[in-house]
Amino acid sequence: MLEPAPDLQRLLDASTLSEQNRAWKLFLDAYSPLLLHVARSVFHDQDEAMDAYAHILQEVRAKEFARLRAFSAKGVSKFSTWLVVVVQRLCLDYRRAKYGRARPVQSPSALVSQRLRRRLRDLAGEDIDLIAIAESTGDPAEQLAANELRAMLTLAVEALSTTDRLLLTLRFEDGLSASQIAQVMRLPTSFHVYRRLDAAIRALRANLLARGVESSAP
Amino acid sequence: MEQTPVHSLHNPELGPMNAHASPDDVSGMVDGTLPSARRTIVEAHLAVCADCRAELVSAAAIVGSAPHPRVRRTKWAGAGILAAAAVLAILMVPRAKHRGAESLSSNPTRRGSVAPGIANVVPTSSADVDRDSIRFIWRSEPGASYRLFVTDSAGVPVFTTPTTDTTLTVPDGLRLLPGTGYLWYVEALRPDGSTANTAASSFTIKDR
Repeated sequence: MLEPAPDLQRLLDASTLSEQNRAWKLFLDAYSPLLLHVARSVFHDQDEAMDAYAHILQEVRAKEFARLRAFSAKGVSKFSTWLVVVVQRLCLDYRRAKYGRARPVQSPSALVSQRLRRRLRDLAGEDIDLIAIAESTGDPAEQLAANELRAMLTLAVEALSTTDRLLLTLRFEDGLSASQIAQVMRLPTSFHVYRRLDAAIRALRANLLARGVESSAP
Repeated sequence: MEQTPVHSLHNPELGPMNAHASPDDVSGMVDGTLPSARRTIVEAHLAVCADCRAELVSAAAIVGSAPHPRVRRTKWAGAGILAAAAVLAILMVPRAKHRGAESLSSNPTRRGSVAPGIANVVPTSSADVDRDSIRFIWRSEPGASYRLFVTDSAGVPVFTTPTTDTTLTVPDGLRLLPGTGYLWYVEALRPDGSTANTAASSFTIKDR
């Protein structure tokens, strides 16, 4: 276990109702600031956050703390981090139940989605105007060339490490800042993000050139 | 040997099949503690699943700005009060200091950490105070409301109350024991919904 969580263990080990109630109070003493923080992060309105907090407490207590029992002491993360993830999901489910789904689900082929194609010019180099190819108006030869280029780009991306693929997606698909990416990928600074992005883009460009992709001209 | 699809989270040797990343996967990514083989599988999935990516990004931001759970201690000595205050102060220092020079005000994802504006004023750290005249005062945050926390030296809350003022006298009925050390801090709730904490200050109730 990476982080001792005695308040959790005391709660899960409680054998009587009074022990459980006391242990629950101690658990809340330790973790309610964290639960509130998650609720406020999801619901910026104070009243909605408090409603969500009440919902969280109800769900966490449900079925003899079944959700908390799912945390494995041999797991890979700290209990507090795991709790944030679980509680965030509860908040999002609560919001969805109240207000409906916030945004449409994107397809699994996000890496070659429309938005990424707009940034492919940055990835592949100035000589390759993939925007023009992607937006071709239906000429069969141009469409074939576009399909081939897209396939080669997919292969080039898949040749990267999974870390670099995720890095490129966070930057060019999701539009995250370097500091946000550093936080998500646990890189020390934004400078490390830029350096790694630069290396990934150069690798992509080299891979495309090796596959004979030098120009958008058919 | 059959190839495991790289986008799938299923690997017979590494874990069950799921359409999306599990809480263990997401929290392991946030903490950077996933075993490398599992990390490779999860990263490949994240690269093609916008929902899981959004969850990871959001969780990392929340964890990065979260208040730390209070650690309970079973016994303490006089010096333990100062040690506890020091630990709380260290835990409340923004993580941005470890990532380079990013200012808190310029990073909107940094919430709930020690802010440069709001700060404890009195009782000052390590002060001896009369129970009958104890009064908490802190520097304000523009537009914020506050919650005062008084805890024992181990960080277990003994009193908390919301207020819109920057000064507060605890109720007469609150039992603060002579010769006993306590900690206090304030949480500010800003108009934009973000929060900030002061660093904890210690004080001792004077013996009668």
